[in-house]
Amino acid sequence: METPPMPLQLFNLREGSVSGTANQTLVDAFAADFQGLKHFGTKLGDVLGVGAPWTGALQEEDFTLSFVHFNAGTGALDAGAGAMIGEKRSLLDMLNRISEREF
Amino acid sequence: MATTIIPSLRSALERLKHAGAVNGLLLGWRRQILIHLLPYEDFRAERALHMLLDAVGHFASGGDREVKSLWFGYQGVFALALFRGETTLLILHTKAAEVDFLRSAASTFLDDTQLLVEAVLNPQEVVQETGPPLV
Repeated sequence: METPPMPLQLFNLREGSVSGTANQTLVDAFAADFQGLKHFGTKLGDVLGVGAPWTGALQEEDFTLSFVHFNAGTGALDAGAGAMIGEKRSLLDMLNRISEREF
Repeated sequence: MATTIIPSLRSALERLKHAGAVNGLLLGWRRQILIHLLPYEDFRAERALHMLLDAVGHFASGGDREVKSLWFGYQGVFALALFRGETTLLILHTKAAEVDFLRSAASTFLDDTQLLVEAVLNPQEVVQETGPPLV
């Protein structure tokens, strides 16, 4: 029997920590990918002279993960949100879904 | 008398550049640049390519993960990177709303141009078989 794909999981980024309603394993998995994505997005931004990214997304064949920083703050402690889902989802749709969580 | 018409890799990339509000493009194979149409110096383009490959390597390390695309939004510009085999395509664009269309068009480009990439990498073999170089 096939395992159903992971449903959309939403996370909050606040004061350098990740939280969400998902179980701790998924929160940890998101946090690790978020940190890696932010790290390489910042390095790419430095190369291109455009600074740190306010949003980023990673996509595999059956997985999509995104994050957004709100209010133009892109530092490690700045507020934001993120999401991941076990499918290849529209990147714009992911961005819109996360942006709706702005508080 | 018949002549085979072979579209060049560069012209295919130029067409992709007109698929949306695109600022620049970079096509790489492994860690080398094949075509550089970014508004940056060569060394920056090369570092950008290496950075993207390092990111893919990071996520692939210790598992079977295979990143297909990365997308970053910066102040005033977005960077969309697609990975297909040993080929990397980086697109700089300005409208977030165009990302899914650009990803789709770029994916088709990468599918359709694998032979052209092969021709650029091995021009002598292709000249013998099909005609003049393609870039």
